[in-house]
Amino acid sequence: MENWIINRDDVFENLLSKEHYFQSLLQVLQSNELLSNKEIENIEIQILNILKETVGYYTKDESCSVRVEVAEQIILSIYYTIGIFLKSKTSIKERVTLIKENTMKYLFSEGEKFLKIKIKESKELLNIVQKNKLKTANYAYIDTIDYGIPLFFMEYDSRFAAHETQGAIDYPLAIDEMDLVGIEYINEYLKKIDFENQFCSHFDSYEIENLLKSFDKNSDHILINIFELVLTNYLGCMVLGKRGITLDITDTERRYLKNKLGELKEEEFNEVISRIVEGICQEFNINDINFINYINKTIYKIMPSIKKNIENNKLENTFITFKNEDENLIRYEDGESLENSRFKDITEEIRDCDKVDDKIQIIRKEIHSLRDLVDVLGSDCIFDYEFIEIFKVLDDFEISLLLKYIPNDSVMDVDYGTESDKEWHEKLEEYLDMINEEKKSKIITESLNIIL
Amino acid sequence: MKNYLMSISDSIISKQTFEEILQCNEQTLEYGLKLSEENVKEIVEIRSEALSKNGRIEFGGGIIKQIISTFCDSSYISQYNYIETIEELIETFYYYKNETMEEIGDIELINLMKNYFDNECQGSLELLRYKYLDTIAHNIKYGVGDYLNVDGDEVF
Repeated sequence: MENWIINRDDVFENLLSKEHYFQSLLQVLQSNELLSNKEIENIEIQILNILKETVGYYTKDESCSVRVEVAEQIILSIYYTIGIFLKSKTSIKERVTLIKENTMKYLFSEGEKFLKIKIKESKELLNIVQKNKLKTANYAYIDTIDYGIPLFFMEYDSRFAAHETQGAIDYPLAIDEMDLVGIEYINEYLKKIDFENQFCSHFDSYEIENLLKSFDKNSDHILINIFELVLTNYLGCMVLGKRGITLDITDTERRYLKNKLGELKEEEFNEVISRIVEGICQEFNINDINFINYINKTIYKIMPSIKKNIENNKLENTFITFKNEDENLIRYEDGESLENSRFKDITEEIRDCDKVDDKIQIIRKEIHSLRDLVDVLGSDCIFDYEFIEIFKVLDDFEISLLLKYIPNDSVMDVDYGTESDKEWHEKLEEYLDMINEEKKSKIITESLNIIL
Repeated sequence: MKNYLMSISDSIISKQTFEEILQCNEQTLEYGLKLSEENVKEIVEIRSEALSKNGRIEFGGGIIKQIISTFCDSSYISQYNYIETIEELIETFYYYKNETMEEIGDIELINLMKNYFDNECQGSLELLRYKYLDTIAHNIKYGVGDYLNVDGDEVF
C-alpha cells in the first residue's frame, strides 16, 4: 500500500486544488479509499468542534449563533490553516499519516504556527522588496509595493479569514499564480517581485525607464510587467551578441534578429534561447534554482510571441527600439520629503488659513518636494478656487511635474486616485484650459519628457 | 457550503440540545409550566426553521434554554400559551439578532426582550416586536448612541 501511494504521489498532487488544498486532499483520499467514510465523518465532526470554538472567539462568547456567511468564512479559514501545514510536507504518504494519526485540533494548531511563520517571513520579504524597489514612475508598481501589500498585512485576519487576500495588488507579475490565496499568495508574490527586482537591478534605471517609455509613452499609468520587458529586450541583445548592460535594439538589429531567429527550426530556436538564458544567469551570478525557474517560465511565456511576431513581421512588438526623444528627456530628482508628523502639522496649518495667499505662503516656505506638493493637493486642505490660485503662482516646470501625476491613458481614461486627488486633477486640467494654447502645449510636451 | 452548515446545525446539534431543553422542566414546574418530548421536538424544529430563515447557524441549543429560563417567571405566560409564546420568542430573537447587526449579545437581547415583555408590552409580542425591538434595531442601524432609547429622542 505504501509503495502504491508513493508511486501515485504525482497523480494525486495534480488532482489537488492549491486554493482549497485540504478539502481536495480529503476528497482524493476518500475516493481512492485511503480514508474511509467513517474517518471522513470523524474529521468533519472534529472540524465542526474547531468551528464552534472559533465562533466563540469571534463573538467573544456573546453569541451562540452567527450568520451562515460568517461560519462559512471561518470554516474555510480552518481548512486553509490545516491545508497550509499539510502542504509543507513533502509527500502524500506523510500527509495521510498525519491526518490518520493526529487530531484535527493538532493539525490546526500546527497550521496556526505555520501561518505565523509565513506572515513574519513575508513581512521581512516586503522590507527587502521596498528597499530594493526599482526607480520607476510606474504607478501600479509603486502603489502595490508601498501601499497595496502593506495594506494586506494591516487587514489580514489569520484567525477568522486566513484564506482571504486583502490589500490592493494591482501590479502584474510576469508569472502570477492566481490559484493561491491568503498569505501563501502574498508570500509567492513577494518572492517573485524580489526576483524581478534583483534581475532589473543589473540595469541602469534610466535605461529601464527609456525602455518603458519607448514601449508606451503612458507607461507610468498602464499595467505592464517591467521585468518581462527588460528580460525580452536583453534576450534580444544577447542574441545579437551586444556587450555591456544595454537594452536598446535598433531597427537594423531587429532585422538581423528576424533573419537569424527566423531561419531556425523549432528545436534550434529553443536551444539558442535556452543557451542564452543560461548565459544570462551565469553573467548575473544567478544560482538560486527558484530564481532560474522563474526566468525560464517567463522565457517560455515570451517565446511563442517572439515566434509569432517573426512570422507576422511584427518583431517591433517584441523587441523594443528606444525612441529618439532621449536627448529631450528631463530627469527629475525629487527633493527630500517631510517627516509624516511634520507634513500633518503643515496640512493642518494650511487648512486653518482663511486666505489663499496665506496657504500659498506656507506651501512656498515649507514644501520642497514634488511628492509633498502632490500630497498637500490631495489632503483636503485646499478647496475649490484655491487650487487655481495656487497653480497660478507655480512656474511652468512645476505645472509640468504635477501633470505627470494625472493619468492620461487614452485607452482607459480612468482616474484611479481618491476623490481629493480627482479634485485637484480636474482643477489642474481646468487651469490648463485657462492659459494660452502655446503655454499649455509647452507644459504638456515638457511633462511628457520628464522622467521622475 | 451553506446547506451543509445548515444541515449540521440541524443534526448533530439538535440531539444534544434535546435533553438540555427537557431538563428545563425542573425549573419551570415551579411556575406551572411543562414541556413534553413532543413539545421539545416542535420547539427545536421551530428553532431550526428560524435559524434557516434568518441565515444563521448555532452551535448547541443554549438559546432555547436561555429563553425558557428567562421568561418562565413572567406573569404573562401560563401553560396554555407557553409553547406558542416560546416559539414566537425564538423566532423574534433570531430575527432581531440580525436586525440589531450583532451589536447586542445573546443574554443582553433576551433580558431586554423580557424586560419590555413584562413591563411596557404587558405580554404583547406584537408590541415587543413592532414598537420596541424595531426601534432599537433602527437606532443601531442609524448610529444612535443610546440605542436603547425608544422614546424618539435621538442622540447621535
